[in-house]
Amino acid sequence: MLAEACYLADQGMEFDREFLTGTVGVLVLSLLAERAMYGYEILQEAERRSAGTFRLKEGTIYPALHQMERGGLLQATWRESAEGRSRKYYALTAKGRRHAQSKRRQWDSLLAAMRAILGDARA
Amino acid sequence: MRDEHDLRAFIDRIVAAAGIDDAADRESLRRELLTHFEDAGTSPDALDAALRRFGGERAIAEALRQAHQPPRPVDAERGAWLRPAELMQDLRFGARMLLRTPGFSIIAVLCLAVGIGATTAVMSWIEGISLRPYPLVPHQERLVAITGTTRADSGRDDVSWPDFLDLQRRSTLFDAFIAEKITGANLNVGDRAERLPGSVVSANYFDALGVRPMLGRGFRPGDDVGRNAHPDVVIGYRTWQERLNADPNVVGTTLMLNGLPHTIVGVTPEGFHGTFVGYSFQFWVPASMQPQHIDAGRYELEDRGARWIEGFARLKAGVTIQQAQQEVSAIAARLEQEYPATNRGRGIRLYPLWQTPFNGAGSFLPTLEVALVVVLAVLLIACANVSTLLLVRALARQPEMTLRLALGAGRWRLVRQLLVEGLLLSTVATAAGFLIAYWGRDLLAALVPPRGGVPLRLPAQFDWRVLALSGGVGMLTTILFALVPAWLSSRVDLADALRAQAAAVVAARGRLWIRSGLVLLQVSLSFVLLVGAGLLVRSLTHIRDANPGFSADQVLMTSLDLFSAGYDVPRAKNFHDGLVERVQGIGGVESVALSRMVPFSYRTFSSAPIAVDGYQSPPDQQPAASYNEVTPGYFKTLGIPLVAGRDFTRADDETTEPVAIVDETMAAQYWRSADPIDKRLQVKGRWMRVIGVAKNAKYRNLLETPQPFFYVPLRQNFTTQAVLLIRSAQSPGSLAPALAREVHALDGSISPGEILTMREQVRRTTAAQRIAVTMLSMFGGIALALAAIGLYGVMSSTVSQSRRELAVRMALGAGGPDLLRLVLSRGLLLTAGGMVVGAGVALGVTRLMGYLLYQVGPRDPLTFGSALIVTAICGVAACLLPAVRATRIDPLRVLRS
Repeated sequence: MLAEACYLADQGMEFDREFLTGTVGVLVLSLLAERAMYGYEILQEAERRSAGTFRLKEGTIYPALHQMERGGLLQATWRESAEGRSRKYYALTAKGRRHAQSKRRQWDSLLAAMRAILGDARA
Repeated sequence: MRDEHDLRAFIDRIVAAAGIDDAADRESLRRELLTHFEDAGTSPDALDAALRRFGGERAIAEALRQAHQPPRPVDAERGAWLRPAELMQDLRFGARMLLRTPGFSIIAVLCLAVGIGATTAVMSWIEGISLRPYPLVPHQERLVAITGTTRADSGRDDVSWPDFLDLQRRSTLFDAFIAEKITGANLNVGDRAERLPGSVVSANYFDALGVRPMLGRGFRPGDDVGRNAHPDVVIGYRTWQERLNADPNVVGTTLMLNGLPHTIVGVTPEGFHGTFVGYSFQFWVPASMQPQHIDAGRYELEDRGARWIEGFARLKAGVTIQQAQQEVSAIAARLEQEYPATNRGRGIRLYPLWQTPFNGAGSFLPTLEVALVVVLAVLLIACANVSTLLLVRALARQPEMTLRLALGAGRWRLVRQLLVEGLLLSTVATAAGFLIAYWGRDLLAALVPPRGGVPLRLPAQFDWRVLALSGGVGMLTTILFALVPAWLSSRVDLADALRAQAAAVVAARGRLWIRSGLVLLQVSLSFVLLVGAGLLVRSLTHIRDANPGFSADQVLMTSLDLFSAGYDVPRAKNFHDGLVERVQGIGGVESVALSRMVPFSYRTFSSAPIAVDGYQSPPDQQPAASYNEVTPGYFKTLGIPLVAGRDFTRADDETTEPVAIVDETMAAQYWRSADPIDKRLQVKGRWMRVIGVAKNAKYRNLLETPQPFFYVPLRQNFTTQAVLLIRSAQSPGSLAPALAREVHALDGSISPGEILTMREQVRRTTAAQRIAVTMLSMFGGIALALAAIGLYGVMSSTVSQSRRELAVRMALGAGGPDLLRLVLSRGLLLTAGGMVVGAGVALGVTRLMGYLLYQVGPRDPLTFGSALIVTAICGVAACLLPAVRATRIDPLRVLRS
């Protein structure tokens, strides 16, 4: 559901939907592995780091965050930000951290495999 | 252009449509969305842009609604296990996978079917022989068996009729007591005579059991009173069908049993075989007919010292066997005080049906226990074997698993898929196993020779309990064993798996360990079975060569039923005299004798309270001894040496002083160091003089401990039912015509019964051992073959996976013999491990077989050594082929690849 609820700006390139399966979960969990963030901040950070490739459909980040929260992967708290505004921050739980690591490893493996295959094909 | 009012309305609609129950959660969502838009910018243009990027209102509300559903595990596929649609999908996929590899599937199903079939067969025998042996009898769990006990020798005895009646009258915890005694009778219908097993029973027999005759009635109260007063008979369904042409008007007609007319009062329903495990009874007569059917002519219904009843009792609902035992023990103690002459040192004991000591339930119990252990071991071996097969297949399916994991399938999903395949395998195998068990249901009876020409009935009972239990055990073990490869297959390191070099060795090391463990299990269990089989084979060899204390070879026996032929005592005595004389004259016959009983027959020897001149017994004990009535020449014919005194002569008859010959055990027990010759012995109030001492012999079976025993002249305690014993080098077949000729010369209407050698008579008492040997040898062989296949599989995989290592060794100069030794040593290490574990288990388990072993200790070193050698040979054979293959590796090709 996470993948289906998200949107990637194509930057002039059509992404096959199958490629995107599982990417949003990895994306969100990886960003939150660094520090707690609020919803809008996650969108901004993803877009900034991918140089605009990942532009998530804004509204759908919230169902994804809520689902992960209810699944015990994230913990949300309302607190004031540096500029004094109250925001809902999401942080990884221990379970979420393990999940993030597992997803990360799988992603690395897949990436390595794809690289190996694509590299062979080019050769 | 939108404003803040529009934004708040937009957010409210989303929050409302999301259907969140909790008010605080709704408020939190509202605030969160509001801060989102504040972050995106509050100017009208920015708001417009943010709302456009935000996405469709309905889609987001639906996504939020789903996100706030009651929590499901993140690995939600666990829940999918129970969803019928997904389960069906897994089942279809599993079935396709199994059909795609038919060779694997057939071998796996065959392995499991043998294991499950054997387990089901043994469980159905346990149900049919031990737990619920009497079809059509309701509430068998409340039935208990009753026997007498003797304090002096902690032995078992039957119960006398007066004691039985007192138990019935004085007890409060029982619904009913049922008396019965197995007997046989010659049934004459038309010109055909047949020996039928039947029973002498108390009049309440059918009512107390809750079995209604299908025609006529059972017995009436009072039918069990008075000498031969009620010549009524209830006949069995089979006899009614086969001998009486299923005549619906048979009730009220007369049937000749043992030469005496009996009135048929009822026919039992189909499926009722009586209450003696091992036989299908075909007639029942009331206890008043005891003199006609048991102990020829002696009326024992008023004799408290005559113990002949093998009984049952039905406990009242809610009464435990312990409570019931307390009550009958108290009654027995009172009877002991009231009737010291007959009851001193006597008690009553209750047994649950499965321990019934006087019929097949008790005698087959050790065999069934051993059989159960054996088949469970075979089932475990079969499961371990299938588990290794599944592991091998999982290895072959590794690319498929890796791809599915990489595409997002959860680990649980893969485990589930493999488990479903295990479930499918076990379901098919369980069905096949049930079929095997059903086909083999009569195997047990086929292994036991008929007794007295009557085939034994040792039925398998296939009821829902047996099917549920064995099916459950079979499926559970299969699934548990399928879990191991399933779990291992899901533990794939994707990075390694997708790396081309490592693709073939995914988790291979861990898997090899598991497979080695499974092979270890198989080798050890087969070793245990081999040891068991070896011990029993050695026991049987000893039994075959055993000295029962008499000469089992060159002695023939046959029965002559003068009682059924209507002989009275004087006529029978004349017949006996004439018979001995005539048979003595047959060429090749060395000696002839008659005796009331022969050793090793089912019937028990008579036992009587005794008193010995000068011997003071403990006050609470009544000395007793078993005895046999024999003619002169008995000791010579059976080859029992007399160690003192003299044999009986023709002069020792009813007109002279009663005499007895005692055995060594009796002499030692009652006369200690004194010479018993010419001492006096009182039996049933009659004094007799001891004239000789015979060497000890075995009387009931080879395993018995020596008991006091004495012999009296047949003429001084006459019975018309005697067995003829002949010492001759001739075979039964060659002697039969001459014997029949001599018998017919005396009386044309009498024919000798089956002629047996005494060796055969002894052999027939070892049925339990022989069944156990057959089972253990058969299943031990299957187990060993399965273990060898497992070992072969592991060694083949080891060689395949170590090709690179082996190639490097070859490149570095290792020769073929070196590699052969290397591979063989690895395989034999595994075999040795299995043997060590197996030997440890066998040392503990073989003690269970104590009852079945004869002159062989459960730790017999020769048997253990032989099992060791056989297993080692199998181990070498299983490893040899993979080892030879290792020597043929081309190092250049392997290293280049």
